Parts: sequence; structure tokens; C-alpha cells
Amino acid sequence: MTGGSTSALPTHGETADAAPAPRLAGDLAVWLIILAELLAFAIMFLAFAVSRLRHPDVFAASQPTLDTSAGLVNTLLLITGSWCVAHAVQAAEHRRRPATLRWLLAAQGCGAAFVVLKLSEYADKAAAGIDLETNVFYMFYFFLTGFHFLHVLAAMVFLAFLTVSVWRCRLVDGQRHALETGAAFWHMVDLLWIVLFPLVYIVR
Amino acid sequence: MNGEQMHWLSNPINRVWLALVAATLTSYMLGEQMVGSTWHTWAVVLVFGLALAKGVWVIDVFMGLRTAPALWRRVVLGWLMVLILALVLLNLNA
Repeated sequence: MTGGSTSALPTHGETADAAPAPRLAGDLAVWLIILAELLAFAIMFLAFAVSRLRHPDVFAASQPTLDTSAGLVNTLLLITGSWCVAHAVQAAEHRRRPATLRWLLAAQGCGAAFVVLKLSEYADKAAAGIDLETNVFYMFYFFLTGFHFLHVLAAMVFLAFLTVSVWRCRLVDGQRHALETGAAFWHMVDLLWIVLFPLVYIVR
Repeated sequence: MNGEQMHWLSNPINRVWLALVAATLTSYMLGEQMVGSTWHTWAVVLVFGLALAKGVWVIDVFMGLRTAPALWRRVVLGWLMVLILALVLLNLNA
């Protein structure tokens, strides 16, 4: 019996090929915040869906007024932003500081474009006299997308600090922790939009 | 496909980004066609199914939970699966 278990142990030569131990990328405190955010948004998404059941006519009349093309572009921007952030983390792992910086700046460019497009959507709605109090659909629309919008801004501030940190050579040399933490928060913002986009814009 | 393209696709981050873009465009096109269609129910299931797939890719590859302690991955994936299932059921009853 002992012989069988001993043969399963890696030899000295095999140690380097062993799979790395499971590791949570980023700070535990931020991951706990992420879980809380996911739960809060889930409640809001479900409230939106239940409200659709209770007010089908209001939703059927209001939802087609949303600009689904803008929603599509915003989705592509957030996805591409996440792709850039994932590359920034990968570049930092390989200690490639200029590449890390470029990917971080590209991600912020995607975030900035998202912000501009979302603000133009809000401006169009305001020009049409639509606001939070117009009806229950728009109350949810502004509340859900507005709360998400604030998270995009927070993620951009987080990334801006990381970019300055990398630019000053404080990040890439040996420590990836802060970058992984910022990346986890950014990806959460992307993940939330991945649910929000079909729920609010697509499914009618 | 040349060697450079193969090298680009060998990175899971790039493969996931391509899949996310394709799934997003498919969802958008389904949404444009689904209103009043005879296959509306299937379109709703498919659109939310694509959202589920996109979420799993982001969670596993971008957030790196595939290599995290199993409990963290289960909790976040569980959040997504329960939420999407609930949204599908609620939307099919609308």
C-alpha cells in the first residue's frame, strides 16, 4: 500500500513540471467586495425581470426605444477592455513593463469610449424628456445602467493608479498583486454588463 | 493560417476575446430578429445561454478562477448559473 502512494509522489526531476498550487489572483478583500457586488446586482437584475412580469405593456412599449447598437458597441468596448487588462497582467508576469503600460492605456481607452457613449445615450434620453420618473422600465434602466456606470468609473480610477504605478517602475519588478487586484475588479464590471446587456437591451 | 496567427491563437486570452466578440454579435443579431418570431422562446434561451458562456469564459480565463481554489470558482460560477436560470424562467413567463 505504501509502495503505491510513494510511487505517486513526484521525483526530484518532476518537481518543476508539477501544476502550480491553486491561487486566487488579487487581494482577498477586493474579492469579498466583488462577491457583494455580484449579489447586489443579481437582486437588481431579478427585480427588473419580475417587474417585466408585472408591467408587460410598459416594458414592451419602452424597451424598443433603447439604442441596441449603442449597447452592442458598449459590450464590445468592455470585452475588449477586459482583453487588454488580461494582457496587461500577462505582460507584467513576464516583466515586460512597456507592454504592460500599453495594454493598461488601451483598456482605459476602451473605458473612456464606454463612458462617452453611455453619456450620449443618457443625453439622448434627457433630450426626449425621459428620466427616472417616466415609468418603471426607465426607472430600472437608469438605476441599473447608472449603478454599473459608476463601477466603470471606479474601475478606470483603479486602472489609472496602476498605470501611474507601472510608469514609475514600482509594479512590474516582482509584484503583480496590485495589478491582479485591479484586473479582477475590471473583469467583474465586464461580467455584470454581460448579463445586463441581454436582459435590458436584447430580450423582449 | 500562418505561424503568426497560430501563435496569436495559442494564447487563451486571445481565443476568449474572439469567442466573446462572436457571441456578442450573435446575441445582437438574434435580438434584432426575435420580436414576434415563432422561435421567440428558443431565441430567449439562446441569448441567455450565450451570456452564460461569455460569463464562464470571463470568470475562468480573464478572472483566472480556473486556477483558483475550487470554492471561489464554484461560488462565482454558481452565482452566474443560478442568475441566468432565474432570468430565463422569468423571461419565458413574461
